[in-house]
Amino acid sequence: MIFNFYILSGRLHHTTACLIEGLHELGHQINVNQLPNLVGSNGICPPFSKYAPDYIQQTSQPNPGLIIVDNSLDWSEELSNFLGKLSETNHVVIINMNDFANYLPHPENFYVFQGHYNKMMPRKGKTFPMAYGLSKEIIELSDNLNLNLVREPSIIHNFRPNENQIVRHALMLSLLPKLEKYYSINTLMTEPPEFAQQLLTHQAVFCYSGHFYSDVRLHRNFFNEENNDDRYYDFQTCAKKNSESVIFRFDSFRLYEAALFGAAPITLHFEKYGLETGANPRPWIEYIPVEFDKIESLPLEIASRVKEDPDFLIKVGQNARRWVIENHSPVAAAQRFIRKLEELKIY
Amino acid sequence: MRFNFLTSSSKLQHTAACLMQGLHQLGHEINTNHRPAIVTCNGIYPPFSDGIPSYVQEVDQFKDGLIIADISEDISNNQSAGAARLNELNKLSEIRNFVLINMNDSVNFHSYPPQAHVFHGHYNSLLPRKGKTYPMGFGLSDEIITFAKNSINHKPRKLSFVHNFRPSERQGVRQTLMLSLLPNLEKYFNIDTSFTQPADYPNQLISNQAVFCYGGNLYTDIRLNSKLAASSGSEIFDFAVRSNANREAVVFRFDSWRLYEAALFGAAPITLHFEKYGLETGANPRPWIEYIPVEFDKIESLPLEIASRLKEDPDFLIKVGQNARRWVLDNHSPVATAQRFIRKVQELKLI
Repeated sequence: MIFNFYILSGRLHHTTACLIEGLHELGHQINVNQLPNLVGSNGICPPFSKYAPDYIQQTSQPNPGLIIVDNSLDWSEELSNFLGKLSETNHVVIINMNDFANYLPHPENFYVFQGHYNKMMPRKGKTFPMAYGLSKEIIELSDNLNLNLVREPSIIHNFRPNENQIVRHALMLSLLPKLEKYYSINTLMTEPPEFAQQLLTHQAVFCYSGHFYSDVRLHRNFFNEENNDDRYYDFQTCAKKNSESVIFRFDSFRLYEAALFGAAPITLHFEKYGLETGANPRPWIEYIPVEFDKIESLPLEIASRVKEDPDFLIKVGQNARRWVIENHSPVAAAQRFIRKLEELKIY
Repeated sequence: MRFNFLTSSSKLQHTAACLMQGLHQLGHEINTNHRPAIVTCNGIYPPFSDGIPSYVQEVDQFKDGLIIADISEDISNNQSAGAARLNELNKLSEIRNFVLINMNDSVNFHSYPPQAHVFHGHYNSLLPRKGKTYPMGFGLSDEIITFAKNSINHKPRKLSFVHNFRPSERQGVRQTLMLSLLPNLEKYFNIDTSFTQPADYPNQLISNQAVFCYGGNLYTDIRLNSKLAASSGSEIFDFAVRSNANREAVVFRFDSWRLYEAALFGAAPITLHFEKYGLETGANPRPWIEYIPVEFDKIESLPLEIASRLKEDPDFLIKVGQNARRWVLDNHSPVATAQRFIRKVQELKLI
């Protein structure tokens, strides 16, 4: 099959580049309107970082049929209007991995595969979850490393301080003080090359991130203020009361990298908080689930499982590696993507 | 004594207006360069809501006395927006003693001339701003104190907690506690989530035993992130101390009218543990006596702790509410605020 990617300003998001890798491995042809010259990724080994993808064909006009547009890095009103016109003659699939994906409105006839998908408060329209995933290059890198090194019973907390990371900040004040009574927490900040080494030598890694959102549509005055465009808050569901809060911008390279290198990921409970990656890991088997209302008991729960089986965290790490390769390799991501397009009858 | 209030417009922040009320009651003279027309406040009963009193004298020039500049409305996150104003005040400081009052929500990211004495809201002793900065609580107006005195009745209070927050953005503390504290608390207690406007809110406060009062956002020292620190204005992140590791978070923008109002109407305030999180109002309440302290790492045990104290004394929360009322009147009435302010400016030898 032929997949037409419409690339804006030469920039491509990590996930779209991984999808291209997967589609190519499955034997499909990749056409682009312009060759990508930059892949936006903070990951250890971004897609296309080792191989110039000579299989990508540049064509002057998009072929008829499905067009896949990555607007993760380039969203604008003008672009939205342009794509709106394009969608009158072609099926348009949007890939939106932007940190603010949950606030970006799209025309109703678009099919939007987006990051940070929260099923408790999904965007209006035809939206589907898409995970950050893995590149072909990082999988090869991990295959060539020794994954059987002795792992310290220590947990990596390698977050670079940043604003608007309230999930991490809240857990610094709640989870960490309790957890460090039982485990060593390694707060050394490392850059991608050293991070891979850290992941190989520690039993677990904190992978959570994101910020909270409560439904401002319950607050009438909020919309009376100037400059508040209610399209940004146009979700499919509406909170019932002012005590509800959801998590947005939860996904990152960190989860997939930790799992790939066999370190047990410690991250938010996916099902409990409505977090969707298209293929979530299973709690206590493929990751250690964090629940805000069980913060005090979590360290004891982990300690108790480790007491029962001293290799508990190591086994979670091994399971996580299997999960991520089976579900988030470029090929797995591409297969899931194609299945969805077929189900939607747009391919 | 004479106190001169300098504002850039006729807008005055709630706390500066309350300070005027207190200084006046203590017998001091109040001069202003702009007669205030608007007092910015979301509270139940703002100061001067019945009209600007005649004791506030508008003058062309401040002849003598301390100058108090309320800059709460003048400077924002963007330092350049208030730069001209600060330069103007800087020049003034060469010839006159002056203090700044800044109760802006983003106050923890504002910088000042080194010689300025700044009384500011949302003061966090774990990560204070550089310079001569001192904590200031939101406080109470004369009007709300009179109003509460006439409103409080001795009808039984429901064993119910008011969660009356209007959803808004950048309220990480509230949103975290929605997912952590609330599910645990509501196993034992009724949570009243009905929205009320200021006019109805006093009724809630006098008919429920406790009120959630926390607010704010969480911040980590981004100077530890070399990439971000280089791309951001260094002044914005110029604190007096520095975090040691990438796992320290502090609470900013924690203060609001809510705490003072809840206490005044005798409802037990449920709010963040002041000492543990470095939160300073100039005169903090005492945990478990004048408020129920929330600690992020004791989320599961807090409901059990409240339940256990209530089992021992069914009036436990009612007594905390009564103590809270005494605390707020003794420490955050306009007169108490003005006395504390005068003590500080005397200690600084500014008057």
